[in-house]
Amino acid sequence: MMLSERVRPRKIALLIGNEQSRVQLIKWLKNWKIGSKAVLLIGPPGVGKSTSVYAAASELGYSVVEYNASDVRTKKRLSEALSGTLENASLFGEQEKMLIFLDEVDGLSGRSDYAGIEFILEFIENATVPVAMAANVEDDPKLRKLSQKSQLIHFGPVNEDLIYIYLKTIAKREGLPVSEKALQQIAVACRGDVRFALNMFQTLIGDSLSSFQTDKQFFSEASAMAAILDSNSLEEAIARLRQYDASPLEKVRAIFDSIVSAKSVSPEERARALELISDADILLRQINKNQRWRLLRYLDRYLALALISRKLKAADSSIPWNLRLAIWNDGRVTKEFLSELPEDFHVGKNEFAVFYLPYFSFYFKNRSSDLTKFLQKYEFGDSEKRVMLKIATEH
Amino acid sequence: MRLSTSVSHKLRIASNKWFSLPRLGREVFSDLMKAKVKYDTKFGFKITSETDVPRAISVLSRALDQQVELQSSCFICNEILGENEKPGSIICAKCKDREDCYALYTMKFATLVENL
Repeated sequence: MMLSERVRPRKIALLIGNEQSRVQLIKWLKNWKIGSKAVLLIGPPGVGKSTSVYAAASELGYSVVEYNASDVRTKKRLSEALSGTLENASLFGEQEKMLIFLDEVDGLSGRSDYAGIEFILEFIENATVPVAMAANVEDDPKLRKLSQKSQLIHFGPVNEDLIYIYLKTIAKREGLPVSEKALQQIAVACRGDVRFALNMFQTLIGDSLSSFQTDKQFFSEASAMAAILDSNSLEEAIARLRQYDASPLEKVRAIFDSIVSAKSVSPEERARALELISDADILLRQINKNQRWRLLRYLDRYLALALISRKLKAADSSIPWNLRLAIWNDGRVTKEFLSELPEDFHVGKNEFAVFYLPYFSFYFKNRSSDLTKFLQKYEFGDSEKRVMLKIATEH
Repeated sequence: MRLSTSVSHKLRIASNKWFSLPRLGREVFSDLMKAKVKYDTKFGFKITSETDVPRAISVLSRALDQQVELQSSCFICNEILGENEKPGSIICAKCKDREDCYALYTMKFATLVENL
């Protein structure tokens, strides 16, 4: 587990820096009532925006439901996610209060996201629960309206003295051998980003981590998957996925294998699970494309949700590897089609997959130049062409 | 506390310390309140953790027709930070050297929150 996650403060007083901003946040949440403004936390990464929200919520008895706005960025998906949350608010119990946290609202970009911003605006104006949002930059024109309708709280880089003191305290508490000079150098080099400082600190103490880390690590796919599938709760599955020492893509593939080869799962359950894996896969591609490694923390949650309570068993190894790979790759490409095309043809994903896609494939089968133009229009490549022709052959 | 004036005629105001001002009119007073400068009829004005510092400094500079500078004080012990401290420092050298500095810092913040 990353050191920055391990030592993440659970109480707002335990954070460092941005004292005034943290006070403002607590004050906002303490005085929040229906009709109050949402809060928009603005500041560079690693200065404690998200941690402050979680800590403040926890101290004032709120459960946090977090969405990363750049994951659910179209109006439709935002609407589904947020409405669903409010409808399920009763799950939190009558006594428990809920806070909605929309992280990275500046991650909404591109034409389709304007509707997303409009939806968030409408949502925060009519919210019946406190809504906190976080963004890295303020001068983004897309956020102007959002800023006007929210209470702004600015977070700045954390003072290097405080970072030094914080690192020194952690080193002392954990009995880690590290010189004060090295800690001072980290405090200066991180430029006010506490997460970065902790990551540098972890790199520095790398060899000492074996005694410092108490979490069990799984080293083989089989043992990891067996343990993950045996989990009794969502949290347990997430914890075991985190202990699974594999790359994110390997994890997605392993879970995908388990789902497609499971025998005791109904088609509906399998479809639901594959939908979640599809979301995880899209998220992973977004992370790789935009270098937003911070979003990796959501990946295990998607995968755990896909697995939990479906009584799955580890992947059946009798399926040849090359066939599993082909299913996997074709599935990815088909998902690409389904994420881009149905909206343009005003049909649902299922209808497009069952009727339109085979029809298009058959139509383009002997019209190579038309197929090329069609694929170019949607910026598809050779993989999509191969799958299109494959579908045509099967029909 | 009276405002201190340096050689370059800069007015220095210490944060978290009461200071008095000459009568500057209703509008300036209202602007200071909007910048969340604390006021007490007995002690005067105070820049606190809730004050919008750049706004307050701008209001004061305009009203007093003089450059105003905020003198930071240590977040833990409230002592005014010396000129040798690094820019942006919020903890004095004495507190920084204490072994329990982080504990003191978190306790001080907890007190701020408790008083809300």
